[in-house]
Amino acid sequence: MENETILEVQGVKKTFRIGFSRTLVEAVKEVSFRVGRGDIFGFLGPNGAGKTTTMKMIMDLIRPTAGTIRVFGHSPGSLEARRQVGYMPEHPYFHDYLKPMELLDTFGRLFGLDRRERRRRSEILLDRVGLTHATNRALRRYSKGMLQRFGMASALIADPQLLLLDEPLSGLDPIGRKEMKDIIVDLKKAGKTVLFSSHILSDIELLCDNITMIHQGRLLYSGGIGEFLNRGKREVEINAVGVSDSLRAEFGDLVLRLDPMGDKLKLIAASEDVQTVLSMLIARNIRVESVVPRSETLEDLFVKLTAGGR
Amino acid sequence: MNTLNRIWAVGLSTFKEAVKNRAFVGLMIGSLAMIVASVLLSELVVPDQQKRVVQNFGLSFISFAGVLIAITMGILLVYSEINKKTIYTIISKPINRWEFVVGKYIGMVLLLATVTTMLSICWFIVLKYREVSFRIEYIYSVVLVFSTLSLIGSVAIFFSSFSSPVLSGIFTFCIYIIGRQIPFIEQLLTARKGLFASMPSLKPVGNAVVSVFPDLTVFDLTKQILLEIEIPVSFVLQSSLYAFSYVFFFVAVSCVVFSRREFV
Repeated sequence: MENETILEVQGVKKTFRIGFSRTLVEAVKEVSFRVGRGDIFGFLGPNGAGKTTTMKMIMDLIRPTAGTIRVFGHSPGSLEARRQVGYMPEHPYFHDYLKPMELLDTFGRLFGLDRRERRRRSEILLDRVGLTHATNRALRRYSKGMLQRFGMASALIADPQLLLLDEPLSGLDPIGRKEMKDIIVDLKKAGKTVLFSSHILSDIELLCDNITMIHQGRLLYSGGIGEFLNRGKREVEINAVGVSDSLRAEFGDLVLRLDPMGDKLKLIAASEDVQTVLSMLIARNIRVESVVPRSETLEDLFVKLTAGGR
Repeated sequence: MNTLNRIWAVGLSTFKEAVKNRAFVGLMIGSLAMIVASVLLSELVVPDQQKRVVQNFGLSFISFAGVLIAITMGILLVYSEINKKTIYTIISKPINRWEFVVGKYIGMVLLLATVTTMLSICWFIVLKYREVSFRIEYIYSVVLVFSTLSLIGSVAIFFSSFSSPVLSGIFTFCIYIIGRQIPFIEQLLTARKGLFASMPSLKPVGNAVVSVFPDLTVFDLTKQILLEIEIPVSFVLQSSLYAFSYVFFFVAVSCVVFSRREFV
């Protein structure tokens, strides 16, 4: 059974006029997807694909030229929608002269939290993102990675049901990335919904239940990550020793690729042809060292799909 | 109630951010030093004019420094939110855009109140030092300077809601200069010689300027202070109400402009 839809993007387009000549640029060309409650939702696309523009439309920072967006059944600009959403923009910037507790206090006030709750949550969140040591420092003294961590804390201040994170893992060191991923996993465990964009596809593959892939403003795929990966070719890598040139010629179309490495040979075959290839090798008494199943990764499919659109 | 809380939240953080800003701290230190320097300046004139110098210079300088701070901060407070993209993290929270603009304005008013109070205290100390006896008109004059600053601040916020800081500064300064010349333009309009007499086709423009632009000279009590003329409190209230009507207009239009903006 499909889980409850909490974010619905339907046929959204966005055009901008840029430059002195007011040239029309289509940043987003009819994108549709839905995000269900409790999903970890990955938003993929190369630079300039329209991910940030779409996220800004969901947050009502910019308005769609066409199409509709509903957040918890409300329009994105409504207070009812925003009360349930936490947003972390790409490369978050904050007020230079304020300290983290001061700014979290302001954000907490905007959500209507009382003083005690604001303080309690601020302390917990700063500890969660590893900034307890820097609470007395003005935000202008924070490094890029620290601002990224603070951005996560500020998005979580009111314990929102839906989190929109624009490139949350960029600018972080390996430890920071691991901590950020742990936070996302914890949010899922707590029943929260997370939509995040990332260029780091292995992270998306690891964390997400569903993905939406866009390229040049156009939707390429939206749905479960499992189904998407199943669309990829399933291949098998066979490593054998002492394959003669005549046998190589006999394989013909059965083998997709042959990589000789000294007296060894790496054969890549489609999974449905493995049995035949193995039979041929065994019939000629050729030693098979290993048979390794391979499936295309998200990165393989992403590159293939986006390259087709170029 | 929630609306007030949200406006207050933005106002308070705007104020906290602004008072820690180096540009503001620099302007304040410079202004305080200038008012104290009026004591030295008064040493240069004959003794019976010394009181007039500290009276005149102090009040004029509070107004000048205040206008400088109102224009600078009024432009920067909204513009820097957009330019530095700090606005993304605020208006994505449950706050209406008009509440954000009003909150920014309230923060600036708090800042201008702080500026006026600090400079006035410094001025009163200088007056006391020069043995000028205290009159309620000093308080009135400071209240009216604050009204001017609040008005100029709202003009700065209005322009910065849709134009660049340089243009906003120029436009706001132009309104300030024109506002200071309204009685002069009125005189020109009725004079038998001068610009409007020689070019009658410009008269509608002159009339429009006089009707539309705020007359900032109503807030200037320097002459009354020097001539020791009594000022009724009703005049101060009327003038403040006059300033508030302009503030309401400029802030309301800023809210409309800001609500339609896109933050790309």
